[in-house]
Amino acid sequence: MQFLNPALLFGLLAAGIPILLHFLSRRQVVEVPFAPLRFLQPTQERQMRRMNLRRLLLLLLRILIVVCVVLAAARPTLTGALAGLAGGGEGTSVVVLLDNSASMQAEVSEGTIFDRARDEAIEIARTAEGDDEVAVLLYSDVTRPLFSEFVRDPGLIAAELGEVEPGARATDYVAALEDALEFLDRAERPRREIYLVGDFQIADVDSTVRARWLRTAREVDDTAVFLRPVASEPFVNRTVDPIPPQSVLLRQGETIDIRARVSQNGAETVETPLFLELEGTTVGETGIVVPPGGSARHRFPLTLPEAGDAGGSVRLRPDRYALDDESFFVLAVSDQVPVRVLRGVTGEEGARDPLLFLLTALDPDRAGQGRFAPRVELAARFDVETLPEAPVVLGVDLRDLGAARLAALGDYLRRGGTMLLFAGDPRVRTYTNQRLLSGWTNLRLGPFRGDEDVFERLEVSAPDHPVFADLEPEARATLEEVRLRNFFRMDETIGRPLLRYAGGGAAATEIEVGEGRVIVCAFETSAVAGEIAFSPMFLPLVQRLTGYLATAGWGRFDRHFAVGESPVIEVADVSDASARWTVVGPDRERRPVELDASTRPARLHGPVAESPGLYRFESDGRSLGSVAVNVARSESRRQWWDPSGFAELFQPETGLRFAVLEGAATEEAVRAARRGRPIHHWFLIAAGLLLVAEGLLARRLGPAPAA
Amino acid sequence: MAAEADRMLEPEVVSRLGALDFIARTLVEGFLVGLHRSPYHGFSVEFAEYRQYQPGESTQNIDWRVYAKTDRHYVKVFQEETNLQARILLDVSASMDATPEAGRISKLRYGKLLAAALGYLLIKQNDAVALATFDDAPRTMIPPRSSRRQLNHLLTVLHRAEAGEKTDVGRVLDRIAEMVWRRGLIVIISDLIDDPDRVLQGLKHFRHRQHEVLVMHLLDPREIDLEIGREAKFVDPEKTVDPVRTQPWHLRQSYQEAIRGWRGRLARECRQHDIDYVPLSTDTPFEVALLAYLNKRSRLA
Repeated sequence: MQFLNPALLFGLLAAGIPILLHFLSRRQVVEVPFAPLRFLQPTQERQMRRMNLRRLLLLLLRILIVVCVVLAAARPTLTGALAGLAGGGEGTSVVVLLDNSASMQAEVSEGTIFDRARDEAIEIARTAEGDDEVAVLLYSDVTRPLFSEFVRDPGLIAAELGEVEPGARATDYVAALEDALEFLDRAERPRREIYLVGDFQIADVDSTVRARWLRTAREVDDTAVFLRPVASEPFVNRTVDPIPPQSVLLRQGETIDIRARVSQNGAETVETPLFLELEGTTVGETGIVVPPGGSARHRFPLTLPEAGDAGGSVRLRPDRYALDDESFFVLAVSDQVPVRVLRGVTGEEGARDPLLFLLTALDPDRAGQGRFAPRVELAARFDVETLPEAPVVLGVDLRDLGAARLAALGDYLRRGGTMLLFAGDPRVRTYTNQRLLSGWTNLRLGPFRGDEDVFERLEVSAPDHPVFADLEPEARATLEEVRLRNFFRMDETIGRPLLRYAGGGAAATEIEVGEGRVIVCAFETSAVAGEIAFSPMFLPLVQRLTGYLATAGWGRFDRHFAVGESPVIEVADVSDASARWTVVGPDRERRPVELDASTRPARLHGPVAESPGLYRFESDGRSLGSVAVNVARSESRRQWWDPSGFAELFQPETGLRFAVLEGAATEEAVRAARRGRPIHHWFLIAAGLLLVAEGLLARRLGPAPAA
Repeated sequence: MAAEADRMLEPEVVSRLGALDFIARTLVEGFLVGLHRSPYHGFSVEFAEYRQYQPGESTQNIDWRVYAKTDRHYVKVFQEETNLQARILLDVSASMDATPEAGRISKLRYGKLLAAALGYLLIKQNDAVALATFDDAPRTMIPPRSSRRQLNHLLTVLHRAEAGEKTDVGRVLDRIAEMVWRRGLIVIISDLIDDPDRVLQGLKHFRHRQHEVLVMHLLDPREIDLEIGREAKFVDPEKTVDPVRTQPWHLRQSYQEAIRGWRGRLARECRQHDIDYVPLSTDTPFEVALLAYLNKRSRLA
């Protein structure tokens, strides 16, 4: 017989309590002066012999009750032949959870950590005997059974496991344990065990994991979880951190910085070469020194190639865990962005014309060669049919839209279109609030401020927003020096304010409309409105806002994905029904992709990416764009759980009992830890019966009711 | 009024009244008031005088012939006999002072109150009364007198009487029987915890000397029923029997049978020898004991 909670056996000391109470109660007897004692004595001698026997029996029963309860709490189990005698059949249903996440690819002295874990899993499977049945589940952020059912042939498991290699996915312990429990629901053996074999990398574990586990975990009785960590030796791991996506519109021939960061977890300073590659060619190389346990940064200047998606990577010389030594990125390079400019018929010429400065900002030399190609149309007559092709719409005075075009504009936005709306003219306030904004958002233009002598300064209220993320401090200071005269204030709690007035209220706010987004600017851009039109920052501000919206409209989805995710891109033209949509991954294989034409623009969904690298979407061999897939950052941490800490995190609130498999030899450790058939309920039943007997006997021994 | 008087005879109430003479007076007067409603109309036969009838008084004793002559209501007052010598023998051994249940009136206290009441009643009837206290030997003896001072003397002795040690009822009764030569009424108040044969022998000795004997066998209620609800160590107040540690509910039935047998034997043998045996417990109203005395007294008259 073994005990799952042997520490509770100390509770057997509690068996002394009835003995103690027995003797204490004997000592506490009072003296009663009783004159006719001579009549009591002969009767007493006869009765007391029998009574003393009963009292001893009562004491014995009470001791046995305590012993039974303590033994039941210690969770006794029977093993071997005794377990068979216990009834209900023999055998154990074992689920081995084998970690095949990315971190298992790390190399150790005799191979990879996964090789070691695989050997452990095979050893555990070999401990199966008699009626035992075993299932192996490979887990990362998904769980995959090696066989669809439990098997009883360890050799079969060993042969199949020999073919398995670790993937590049992240780790999800909650899902793995849930799937193992679900698999055990089919088990037919009386004993149930889960063996969790892995490196216990602290991956994706944060404060939400425990909450998630408590939310999903069921009350499970009589299932033991044994933890078998296979990687405890620390080693220095260098990592290229993900390259931040370039969110502002990039233009052919421009030079930008690729900002790379290298981290390492070792205790020594590491010097390592760092390479920048673009489309398979090394275009930059440097040496980088990383301090102990820290990180170092480097900026590679890169002149953007021709328009289209440019895929590349920043990589290190591979170390013992090579998977995180290269970080892939994609740059969406454009030559020119068409901008649909919608204006009213009542636009004034001269200093009051808001378009005068806006068009200059979008196309400074008015030669149509700039980054943006503005096409001005009257709001009352713009081409509704071609609107969905526009990556961004710039709106100024839309009072003449009419119901049909207003509906078309709303539809365009909800399907993922974007608009930059300048609504600082006091004459358009009513229309903007009551017709435009009321259909899209709760945001409204507040009262108009147009005093001749009152100026308001602008402040950047979202410095982390892609529009301002790489804004130099001097440029920001220049922008915040601008003084405005004609403007509205907007509620700062609605949408995402990008700019605010120094005196309070939002000046420019980004709102989401369906899948699209609109940036509402509540200030006038004409020459009479203040200094903004003449500010050196006006042109960059308009370009940044338009560029951001254009990127958000075209590249609605970030071009960066993690292994295990399904990469997606958008395509503007899906008119060719016979076109064959495919994606080419790092393994050069061409796989079909799904076209989702229900959105505008349509989307292509690639298969789940199983390895890091660049994935290129194609239509009949013609490139449509690329995405970058990287290993989850959590897989690079190279920190391991203390298994007992892991058990503490997952154990509460469930009937699962976690234990760490100790010992060098797996088979011995398993046999030592393996519990037999649980028999605690026997002791509980025995305690119940003894309690009934005790009650009956105590009643006979207790004081009789007064006559 | 009568109900209040009845209640005044409850031992627990009476024992709290204070001075013994006051208790005795209260006891007897209360008893006598209650007696007007009882079948005991009077206890003397010799006419003494007439007195005016008071409203509210019983009409039983109105002399209607005098009423016919005088047209007034007169009541006959009888004179008591005075030649009776009563001796009260009170057991003051240690066993009389023990109470199994704290807070209850002890047998000794009950016995003292009963003796005082009887003494008062006897003196009120102009009978001569004597008192003797004893444990394993006679301790105090007051020779018989019928004067009012005798009552004070008697009450003083009772007040001062303290529990002695061991009992030897049989031997003491024998000794007192030897000492008393004039026939009279012997009232024995005792728990009679001694060898029953010797006790009966002592009682018979009184009868042999032509005395009328009234035995008031006094026990604590718990000594009769053993209704004690917890394990206890029972000790003999006179230390003649070894202590017994027991859970009394196991022994209750057999003990009650033993006590019943003992009292039954005493009652039976007393009856055979024309001895009045009155079983009492300390929660028995004094009325019962006093009535028993009056029964005996009336028969003697």
